Amino acid sequence: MNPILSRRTFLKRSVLTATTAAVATALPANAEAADPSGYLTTLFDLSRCVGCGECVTACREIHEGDVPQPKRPFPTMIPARVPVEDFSQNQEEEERLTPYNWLTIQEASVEVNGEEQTLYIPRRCMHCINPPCVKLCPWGAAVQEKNGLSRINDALCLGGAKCRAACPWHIPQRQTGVGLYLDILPSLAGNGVMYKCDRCHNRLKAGENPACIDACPEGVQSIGPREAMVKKAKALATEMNGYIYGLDENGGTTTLYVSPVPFHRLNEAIDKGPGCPDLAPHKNSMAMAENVGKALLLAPIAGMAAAAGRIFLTLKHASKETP
Amino acid sequence: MTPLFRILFRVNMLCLALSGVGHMPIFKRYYIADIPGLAWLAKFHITLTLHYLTAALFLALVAWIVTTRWLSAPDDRLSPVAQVKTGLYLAIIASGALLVIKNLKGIYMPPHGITLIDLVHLMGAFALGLTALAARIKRWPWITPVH
Ligand code: SF4
Ligand code: SF4
Ligand code: SF4
Repeated sequence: MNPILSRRTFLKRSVLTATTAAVATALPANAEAADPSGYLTTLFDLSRCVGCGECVTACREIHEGDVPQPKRPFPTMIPARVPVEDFSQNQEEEERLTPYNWLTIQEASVEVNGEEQTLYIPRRCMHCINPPCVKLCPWGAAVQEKNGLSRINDALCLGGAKCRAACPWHIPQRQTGVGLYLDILPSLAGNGVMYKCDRCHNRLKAGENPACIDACPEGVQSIGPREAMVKKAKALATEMNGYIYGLDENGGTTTLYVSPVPFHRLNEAIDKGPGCPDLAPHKNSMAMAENVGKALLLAPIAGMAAAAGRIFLTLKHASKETP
Repeated sequence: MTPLFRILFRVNMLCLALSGVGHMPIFKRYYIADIPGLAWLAKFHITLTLHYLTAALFLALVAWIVTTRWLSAPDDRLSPVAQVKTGLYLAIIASGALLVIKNLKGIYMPPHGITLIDLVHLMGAFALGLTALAARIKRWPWITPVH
């Protein structure tokens, strides 16, 4: 401590320190830009789906130009245990999510009102309100748009598959042999590109509905702002004495399913595994980042206050000792 | 800075750097997560939590140093290498703060902005590591007296 520091200097500088601290706290509040209650949300009325697969066909057709065109032979992977994931030989596969198939229909044989019945569940990205695939992507290759939808930029993705690990449903699927990694260090880093439903962002920008919604002959899906769709889902659930999936899953998603059968029973009845997502309850995987994140921005203020307090005490002590 | 403070700062920096590098999916690929006791390095939610907690301690420690120096107005100044390090710290802190904000719910940031911030954060940390290493080897001090 500099003994020549006067109380006046200390006070002046304290005010400045406090102002800096106040500005640091106010900034994040201003960065709030989007309102999740307005995020574009789709609602699936599962009681209407007949499993015809028109939506799957429509999705494949509209995204024909967006699926991978891998170059062969694939680069040698170092270390050799890095898995090659190649769906290009099996592009017709519709029974699971793949880089070529962004929407798949699951089947569940369950009892409804005492009768054995098959329910069909169209599955693709849930478009989470706070999507871990986007937030945890180390390069900003996965993005969330203003209307809440999330998608993966195939020009930037390196195929590390962190998004798939971070996604509670492991939705994004990898194709080896495509993308930016081929131009950098193909053997040492990266492994292709991740693909998933992009909610037909291009069609939305042109004022059209996602292709799967328009193609459905049964009107299974509807789309609108989340608040309104939540209301609609609740009304529908009450009407059919049913259940909703997506209200709180992973902190809330912008895909809502309404079913006449509880989701834990559908989850037991469907095939699960790679490319076949479950219907289990999932806690908000971004909860830590949401809660600790706000506290984190206050940490420097604690440090400042502690240091200023210590200096103040030292000064007080010194002034007592000087007669 | 007391020796205890220095040790705390350095250990925390090591954890911060390790958990930061863990954000890239490389520890698993390169067998590092196979080393007994290091499996957590490949678990993204653990590395993220650790990065947040160590970042909180780091920010509090930095704020302590800066406030103490500012309020006590010492008659010396930062050496050239310390000025470079300070600039890098500032870039890392500012980009880190933006990334923390990005991770909150209901935040929109333009995609290219996020990529830029990610790169500043990563390259900044990398450059800081190299500068610190050079300063260590050459024994460049943080503070030089004013003549
Ligand atoms: S469901 Fe998975 S891929 Fe889709 S937004 Fe959520 S975390 Fe991302
Ligand atoms: S929203 Fe578009 S990309 Fe997503 S499943 Fe439907 S058609 Fe496919
Ligand atoms: S098109 Fe409609 S009815 Fe047919 S499988 Fe898809 S959602 Fe179900």
